[in-house]
Amino acid sequence: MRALAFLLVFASGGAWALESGAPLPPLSAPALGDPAHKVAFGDTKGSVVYVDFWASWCAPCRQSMPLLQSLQQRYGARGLRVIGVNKDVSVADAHRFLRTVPVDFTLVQDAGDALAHAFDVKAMPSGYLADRHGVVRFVHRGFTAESGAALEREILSLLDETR
Amino acid sequence: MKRTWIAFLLLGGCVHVAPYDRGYLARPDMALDAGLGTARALEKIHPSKEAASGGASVGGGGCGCN
Amino acid sequence: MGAALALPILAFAPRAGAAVVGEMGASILGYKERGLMKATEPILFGHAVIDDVWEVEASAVGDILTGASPQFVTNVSGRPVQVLTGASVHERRHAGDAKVGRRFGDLVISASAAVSNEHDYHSKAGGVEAREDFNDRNTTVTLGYGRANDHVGSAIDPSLDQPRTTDQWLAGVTQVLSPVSLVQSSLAYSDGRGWYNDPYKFTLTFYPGEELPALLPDLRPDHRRSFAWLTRYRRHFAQQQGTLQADYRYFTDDWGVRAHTLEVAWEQQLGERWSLRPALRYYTQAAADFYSPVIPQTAPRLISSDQRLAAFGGLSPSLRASVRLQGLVLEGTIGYVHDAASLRLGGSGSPEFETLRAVYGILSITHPF
Repeated sequence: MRALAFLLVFASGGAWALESGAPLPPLSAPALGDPAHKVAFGDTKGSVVYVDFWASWCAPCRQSMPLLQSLQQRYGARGLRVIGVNKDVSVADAHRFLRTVPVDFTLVQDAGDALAHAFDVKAMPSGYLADRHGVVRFVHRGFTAESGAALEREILSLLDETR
Repeated sequence: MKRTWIAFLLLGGCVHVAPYDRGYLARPDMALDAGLGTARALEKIHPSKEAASGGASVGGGGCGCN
Repeated sequence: MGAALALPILAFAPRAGAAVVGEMGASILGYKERGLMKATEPILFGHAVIDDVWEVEASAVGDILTGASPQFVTNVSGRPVQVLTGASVHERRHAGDAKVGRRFGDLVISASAAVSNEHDYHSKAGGVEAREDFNDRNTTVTLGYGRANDHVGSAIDPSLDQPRTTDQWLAGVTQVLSPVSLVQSSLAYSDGRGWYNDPYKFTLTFYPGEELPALLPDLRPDHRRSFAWLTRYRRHFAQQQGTLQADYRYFTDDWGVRAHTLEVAWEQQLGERWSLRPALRYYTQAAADFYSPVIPQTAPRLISSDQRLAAFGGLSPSLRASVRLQGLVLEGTIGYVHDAASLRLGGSGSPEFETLRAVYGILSITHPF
């Protein structure tokens, strides 16, 4: 029975994964709550970018979002740019969540799943850390206190890179 | 009975809800059990008057985060 | 007691810098049977996931039972009826359980323990469980095994101290069907041996034309094997902001009992904070082979007049309301239980079954963190 289940897992999934070394997808997305304003990933060259997929229904996001807010505040001046991609079906749910976990980094909405497909999101939350050249260098699937600490070390190493 | 089980496992190959599409599945009313306190209380009411018992919750569903 | 075990773990983890997500709370159950028993049960509980590696869950329940308990079934009036002995029962029961699990990728291995104590009954149980996710957590398979060791005593016979051991195996699958629906199906097989007689139940039968009645205590088999098949379905309707919940359980054992349980509920979201859940539960059971309210002329090897083993059906409507406040969830449930011979599916309920009418209320306060 288990062998059959394993076969099905391999047959059904196993798509390509956006892993370290790939460039940030050259897409743009509407800002959360202000669809006329578009945010383009191509405009981020020169900054260290962390793209984080989150949602109001994602329990670990209650811990990851304040951490990202703290990282943005501490390293924003040195060139860190956090972009939160919201996966809620209803914007009202996202706003309700943000009332309890307020952040002021860039927030965009991904209603049509274009970004989720391009980044091949395999877990919630998911984070993609790109260097100043726009190349994804670290991928975070899920969030724990340990992964949060590792993220901070990775951000510092990318901010310090001169080339 | 065995055919039902095979059907369930085969369903695993056909159905795939992406991790970022689990908003509705994460709702509290989509949980397979009532809240822990209410569930413990309900366990007291019916089994004490009936001969049948058992059938336990086995996890799964929900937001599937992390 | 069980909750006391969980609290130190929940207190320690945040200091270690771990991410703890969970909830803790208290509930109270009030239950009243028409003319008979009244029970109050305080419950404490908590569960948490620590840094996505450890899962802990614990609860503690206290029962305070008052009232009279049926002890004799006698046909002295011409037909069998339950007779209360008049002695007032005031019983306290304590039970607790705890479960700890550790995640290894998509697999979670857990161990659990449970105890239950009252002055005439003690139970200790332990179990292990393996739960694995497949296909991006669209499918979850669970396998479990548990063993319970019980000791049955009697307040009216202090020399009674009989053991009972039960092994239980569990296998279940949870399958996501769509972004708005899922189904779970599980099988539980139970194999028990030991003492099953109820030490407080007797059958007293008068025969026409004979002076002396026959009196027998509860005599049940010394083993019991049972299957329970439980299937649960959940379907959310986004436009109506409501969810359909349906649970069906089929139960059968080697005592001859066959039972069906069906509960259907609709949980309606009202605004951002409130939800209302009306539900209806229907139950039907066939009598155990050795159930009899009268003792046959030739004394049988097995007999029980306990109406828990009779043929009957039951309807139980209930209503649950929840409100999510800042840092607190309040949930209240009220329900009515109506068990009767006439409610048995297809008719032919045990004619001497005394209709049960009971009402219950549950209040739960939970703090998520």
